Amino acid sequence: MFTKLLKHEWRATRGTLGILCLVSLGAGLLGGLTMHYLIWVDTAREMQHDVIVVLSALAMVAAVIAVGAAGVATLFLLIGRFYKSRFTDEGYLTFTLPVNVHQNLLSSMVNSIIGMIIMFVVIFAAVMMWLFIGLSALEGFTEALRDVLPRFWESAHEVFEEFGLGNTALFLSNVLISGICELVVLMLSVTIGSIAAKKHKVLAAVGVYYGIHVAMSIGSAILSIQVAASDLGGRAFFCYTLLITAAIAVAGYFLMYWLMDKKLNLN
Amino acid sequence: MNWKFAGDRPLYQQIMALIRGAILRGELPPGGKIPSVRDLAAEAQVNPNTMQRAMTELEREGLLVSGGTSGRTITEDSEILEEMRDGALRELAQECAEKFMVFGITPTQAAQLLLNLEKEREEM
Amino acid sequence: MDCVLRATGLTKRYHGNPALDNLNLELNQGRIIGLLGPNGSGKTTFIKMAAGLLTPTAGELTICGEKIGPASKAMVSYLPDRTCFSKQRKVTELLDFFGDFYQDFDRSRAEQMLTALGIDPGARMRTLSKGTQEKVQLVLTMSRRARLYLLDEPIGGVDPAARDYILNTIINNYDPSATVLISTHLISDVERVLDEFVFLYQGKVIQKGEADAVREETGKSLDELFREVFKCLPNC
Repeated sequence: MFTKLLKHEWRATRGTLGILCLVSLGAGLLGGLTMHYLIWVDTAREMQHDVIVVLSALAMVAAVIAVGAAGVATLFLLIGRFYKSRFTDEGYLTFTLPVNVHQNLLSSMVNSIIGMIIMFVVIFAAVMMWLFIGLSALEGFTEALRDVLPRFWESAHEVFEEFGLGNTALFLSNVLISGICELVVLMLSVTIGSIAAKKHKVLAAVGVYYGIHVAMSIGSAILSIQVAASDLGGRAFFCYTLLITAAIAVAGYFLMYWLMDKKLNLN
Repeated sequence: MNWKFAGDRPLYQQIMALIRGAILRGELPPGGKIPSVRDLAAEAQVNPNTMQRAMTELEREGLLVSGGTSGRTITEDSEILEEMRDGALRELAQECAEKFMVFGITPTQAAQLLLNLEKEREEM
Repeated sequence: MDCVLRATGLTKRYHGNPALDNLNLELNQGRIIGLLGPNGSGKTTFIKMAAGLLTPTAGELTICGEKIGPASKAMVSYLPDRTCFSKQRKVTELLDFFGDFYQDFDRSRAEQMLTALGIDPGARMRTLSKGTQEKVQLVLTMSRRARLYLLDEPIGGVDPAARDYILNTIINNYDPSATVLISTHLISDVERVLDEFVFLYQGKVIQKGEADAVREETGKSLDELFREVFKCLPNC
């Protein structure tokens, strides 16, 4: 049942996700090309057409916005799918399926995580493409690249070895858990807004979202002060952050579960 | 068959009356097969349980004969058919008499009216 | 006869006003039952609760002995009073969807019914008229071989031809192992199809029985009985 749910979640979002990926890559390409042009124009001073320069600059700004927007839009897409399929008329279909609440929630979460990872990778690729195409206008770029890349790898290796596997794992886990926690907070806000609020569901959802984030910010500020005051150091800080973020994610999940299981009132 | 029902009498009884009527008119000939309960219920737009009840009652009366898996047929027993015919006609006469009574007309007067009607029809 | 649905002391309160008030009801197998009452009597609330869309404030509700949950939902086929399919989907995708999640879904039967209605399975829902969308929903719901069918106001706001189609589908779909609960306030249209009826008022069962027994004993149709019973009640 869970895989079937996941399959249908994926089918519902893959179309738009694909479009957003193409937009990102297109923006990356556009940004790279305009950057290339602007750098080239800057170095080869004879060929300056002001209008084209201005247009290129604008195009690059547009490309930046496009990439950012694609990232945000992905989040809207995934959370929007959660809201639409559970808390609008479609919910009549979703909540009468022979699945339990865990399968219901997790299928949406897993699909969203997959979507976010894909977008993350695509945006990263878009930025890399942008830099590569853009910076290739610089003289001696290819030689510099051949020269710099191996040294970059070497120093990266050194830094990595110094930093240690444990710390890297800690850092990456933090990134991952923060992402999942953010997802849970978003889903929870939507759930509370739809189930607990009688009127103004959207307002309630936004309110809950900001409320939770303010609380989290205060919490992490207090934690930072504590850690700075004590001798514990960076590693402990990351450990604490990891645990607390994970705890918030888990608590949020079970609050959602309870609301959907015991307090569902679909209208 | 024209399945028209009034809402205030038990449907199963109305169904039975309609089927008796169809047999009398010759629409459902003696010995002939009757569609399944399901098909009849769909045709009449009634609950299959109601149709089933009517069929069972008619079977008990002997008007319908169960052929096991091959479905029901109408009886060929002329005695039962006669009896049913008589019963149906009696009921109709009773109804007519009651209706005429409302206008204060006795059965004898009613009979005269009917004879007059028949004469008029022949003259047309 | 097996008991397909049992409600004991079922209550649902919204801010003090009970939509369902200590309701007790048992539905048996192989019957077509009408849940009849004026608007606001709790019909939709009861059906949604049996479908698993609302949770009770108090009391118990079981379907074939199971509490409301994935097991009961697998046995219940629910037709809501509004269309709930994503408009983007094609009809075939919906057939896939139902086949995926419901083991009791009879796809060939659904396809037959769609063909008989002249509906193109490759069409997207949003290209179909509202009436046709509702028919698709009906076809999908009735193509399941469920133990309990919950039909919420299936003929409200529908033209006579469509109404006939819906009633015929219910009759044709009849199975002695299944139960159909039809909620409606349009009694005269539906009473020919009902085995039993339940009168609901302010969240309580005020009368129930067999349709033909009422006609036999009182010489009234269900519609007339309904008017009589509800005439003297406040807020009707």
